[in-house]
Amino acid sequence: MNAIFLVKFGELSLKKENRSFFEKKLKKNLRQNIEARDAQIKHTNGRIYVETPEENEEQVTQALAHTFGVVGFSRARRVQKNIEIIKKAAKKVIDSLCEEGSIPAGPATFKIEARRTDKSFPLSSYQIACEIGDYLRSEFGMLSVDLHSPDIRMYIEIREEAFIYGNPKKGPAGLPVGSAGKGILMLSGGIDSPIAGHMMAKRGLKLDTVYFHTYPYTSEEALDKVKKLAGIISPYLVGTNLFVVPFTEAQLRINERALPQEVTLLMRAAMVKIAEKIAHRQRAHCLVTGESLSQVASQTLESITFTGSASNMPIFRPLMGLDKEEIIQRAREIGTYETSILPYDDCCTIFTAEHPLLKPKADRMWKAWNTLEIENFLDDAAERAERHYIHPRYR
Amino acid sequence: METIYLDWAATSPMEPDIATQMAQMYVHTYGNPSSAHSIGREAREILEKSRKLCSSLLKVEAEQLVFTSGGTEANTIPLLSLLRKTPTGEIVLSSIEHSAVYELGSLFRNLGYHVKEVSPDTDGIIRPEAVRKKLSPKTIAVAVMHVNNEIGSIQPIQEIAREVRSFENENSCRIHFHCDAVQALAKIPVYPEVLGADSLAFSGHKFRGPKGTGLLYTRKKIIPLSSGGGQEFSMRPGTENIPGIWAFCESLKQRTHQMEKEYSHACELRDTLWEQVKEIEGVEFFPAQRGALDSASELSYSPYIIALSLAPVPGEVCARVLNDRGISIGTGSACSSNREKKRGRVIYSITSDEEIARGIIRISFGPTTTKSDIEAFSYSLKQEIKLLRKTVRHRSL
Repeated sequence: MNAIFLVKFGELSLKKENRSFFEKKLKKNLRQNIEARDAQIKHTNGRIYVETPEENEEQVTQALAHTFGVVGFSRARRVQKNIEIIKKAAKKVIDSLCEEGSIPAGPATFKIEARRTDKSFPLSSYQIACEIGDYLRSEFGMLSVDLHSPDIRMYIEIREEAFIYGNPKKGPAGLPVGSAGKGILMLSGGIDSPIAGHMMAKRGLKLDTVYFHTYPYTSEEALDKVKKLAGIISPYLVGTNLFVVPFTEAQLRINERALPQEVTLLMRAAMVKIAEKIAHRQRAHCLVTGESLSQVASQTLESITFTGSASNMPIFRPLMGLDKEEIIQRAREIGTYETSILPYDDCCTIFTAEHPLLKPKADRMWKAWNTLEIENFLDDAAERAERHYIHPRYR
Repeated sequence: METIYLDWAATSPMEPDIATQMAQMYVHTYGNPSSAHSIGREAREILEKSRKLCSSLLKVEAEQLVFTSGGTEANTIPLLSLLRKTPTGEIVLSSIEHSAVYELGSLFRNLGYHVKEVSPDTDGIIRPEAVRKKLSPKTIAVAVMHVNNEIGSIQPIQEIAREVRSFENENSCRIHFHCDAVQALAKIPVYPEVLGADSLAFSGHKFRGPKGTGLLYTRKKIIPLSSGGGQEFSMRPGTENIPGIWAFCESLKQRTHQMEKEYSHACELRDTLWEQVKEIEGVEFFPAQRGALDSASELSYSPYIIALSLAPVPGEVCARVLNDRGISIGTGSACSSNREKKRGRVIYSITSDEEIARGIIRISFGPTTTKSDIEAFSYSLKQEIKLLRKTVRHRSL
């Protein structure tokens, strides 16, 4: 037997003439995120339906819960347009809500919202609601009607067939990934950058990711951790390329030629420049970082002014106004937190001055930059970056 | 690329002959020693012969030996058995214990016991007087390891036991003295009766035996936390791993018979290492007292485990670079931020210097390690350390 899901999308419907562009993107992303090849994704009358053999139900539920653009979705029952059959399906919907524990044990309230696009159906929407409501009350002693804030909202739609579903699950909302262009996310392995990626993907940005590997100063475990983080956010990004940039030679060059207190900022500028090179190659048009104002020395207004001037592309920093607790909260919700805090940070403390600059002057920093003569190192690092495709599908 | 393995304190390769025979036993001698039929009896016979062999090697009664699943379990059984004895009391642990013992301290703390730590002197050795100072009539247990797994310092177990016993007599109290001897057995002479501890823990894979095998010596019968089928005199319930136990004992026999020869070999390797690395700028023995190579240091440190200090170069970085050259070494600590103190706990408790704790590498030998392995290691270290020091030194300019 097949499971059928009704997918609702919210903001897309505001896009007027562009709506079909967004809907097509969403359908394409669902196709990518849903692992089951035999799942059918249909797009009719402003709705997306996903139909799949029942054994794939969990996988499809996960995919829908991780695909931006999906505001809500319901596991629906599709039956013939016959009021007796519809009653039985409505009963099954209540049964499965009870089984899931998504309604309170004991007395519960409900409301039926019926819609009839097929006007040849003999009962009106109001009559359908009354008839099913009476039936459910007689079947379930604990149910009573509440039209304002019911525990269960049951939807009955009479279309080409009858669809019955209750209490839709929340999707991640936002816009379909890819509808707003493409960017490069600088992924460090810490708590912040995966969240920055998640937030920009939610606004429809397609993202590839870049990690700077300073082996042997950073470990293979740190790289594995970044791959794992990319894997966790990958369903939200509908898959991503992770570029692992061999950064050691550039780092050592900076270390050799720069003043200790300038090392971190020059390193950040070098990373921005390499990310920009990869962005050009990947036809991406912006960079995304997990910076948050004044969180560390390299994220003061003056520091960001300097590192930001290393690229002509817009740099999005969606965490700018969030404090650490808020970022941690989001990381817990998305599921990256536990991986982000694994202790394989790196030994980059040996490259960090005890007192780094807090208020660098951009012109002085660019003078220091010029003494590095580092362009060839950056080209080489971008050139040798290793690409790993991180699959979007939910395992 | 040929690999040079210098991390024997982490684990050692099994003796090939013993490994082969053990594998065959898993197929052919599969009986459960508790079964009454002949296949079970055959297994029982191997078990008891093995126990007897160990008892003669360690010069103890067979009933005092309990086979376990490894060093950690052998450490855990006697210490957790205290929970059955008394709901309160004080426990004294050395601050350089392996986490198998050290983490039990946190457990006891959470259960309301008072846990005191004894720190070593700067030479990495726990003084009996320091242990004595921590004892009180409320003390129910003391745990001090024999050979430290990170720096090779040998603790004066016999003297510590003597202090504990004299405190017991003076205060009419009873203290369980446990010793984790995982890095000592088969490397230096270990005779429980001489050492005077109430219980000792051993592990098979540290001396070319199989992983998943261990041994507990207990002077008197203890009542463990776990209960079950009554195996191992009811001290370690669970079906015995007969091929593993057999291989543990065979390996112990081989090592014990060759102990003197292998010990001298390890001393030669240590001397070669020292000759080679003392020329390298920025590399020192840790603790520094070891560098004297006099008779006192000879007795105080195991020649099988040598810690080198590279500070300010992180040991972890050096280990990676050498790994790329095909040389496997251990690190005293890792550079990882949140667990930094925990993972560098032992060295940190000796030096109280994070940079030094981060900058330790551990070289440990076995019977098949050769002089040319040491030379190759020293050569690579010399080459790599130059660049690493340049990188790190820059920071403090």
